[in-house]
Amino acid sequence: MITRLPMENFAAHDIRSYSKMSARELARSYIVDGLFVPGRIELRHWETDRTVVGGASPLGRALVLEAPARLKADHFNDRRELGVTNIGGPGAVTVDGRRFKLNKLDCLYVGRGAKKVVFSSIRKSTPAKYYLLSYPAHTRFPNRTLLAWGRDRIGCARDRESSFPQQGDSSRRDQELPARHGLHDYSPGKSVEHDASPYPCVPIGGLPVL
Amino acid sequence: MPPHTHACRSEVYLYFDLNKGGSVTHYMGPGERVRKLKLANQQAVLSPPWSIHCGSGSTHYTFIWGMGGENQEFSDMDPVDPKVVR
Repeated sequence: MITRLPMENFAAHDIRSYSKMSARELARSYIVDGLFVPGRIELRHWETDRTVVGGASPLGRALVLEAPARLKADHFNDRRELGVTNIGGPGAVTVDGRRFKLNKLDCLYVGRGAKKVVFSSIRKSTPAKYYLLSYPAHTRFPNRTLLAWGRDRIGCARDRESSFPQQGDSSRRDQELPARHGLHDYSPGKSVEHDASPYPCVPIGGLPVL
Repeated sequence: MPPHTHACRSEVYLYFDLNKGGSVTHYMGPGERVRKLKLANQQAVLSPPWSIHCGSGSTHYTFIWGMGGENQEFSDMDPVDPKVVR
């Protein structure tokens, strides 16, 4: 018998029920907690846009991403794309045998159709923590990384167009380079939320990235 | 800010790298009925299409913004005048 990865569901509440919620109900309905449990993969499903949000926190043992029962699929990525961002120590994600090393703030796009996604940490003492976000996908795009420049360089990210490093798919590197990646500049007095003006948006696979 | 909604997209925010004891207040809802959510380090918040979404921190924080929906060009946003937010 196959044990499926559990995945709690968050209902898609409408604006009328929002108004009637207590503070506790509001928090339970919209705050997602407990995503990063050492040694485990945690997944949550939100009915709105069929969102899956999760965390993978491998320690000594690598963690395999399975398809929760709700997805009615043999593999997690059968009909989905997946964005992975490492917010912890150095690690590696292996997709169908291909290994992508991810340091802190590095991202990996995993396209529809991937069969086996495995998360691991390089060092148990500084484990990786992978934030996961996934949506249904109707097109398969290549797996690829989106590498951060380093935490001290975030503020300069906006100026660094056209020379974005990546792993994999080197033959397609030029045409797939984004003009702008997902790290916003910030400075004292400037909002760190995204501003409401239109952005040129570069999709990584099917996921828009700012 | 300024706040806005977008009926064609929902979003998810993960707040992380907060200092110990730090928190982020996330604002949600329609502009005229905004409510607050207090978030701790490494918590995510779901932002429905009908909701504004912005935050303020008691300390420095980092967030990951992700979205699902039908529009990638960001011409679908409805701004909410901060004067009407309450």
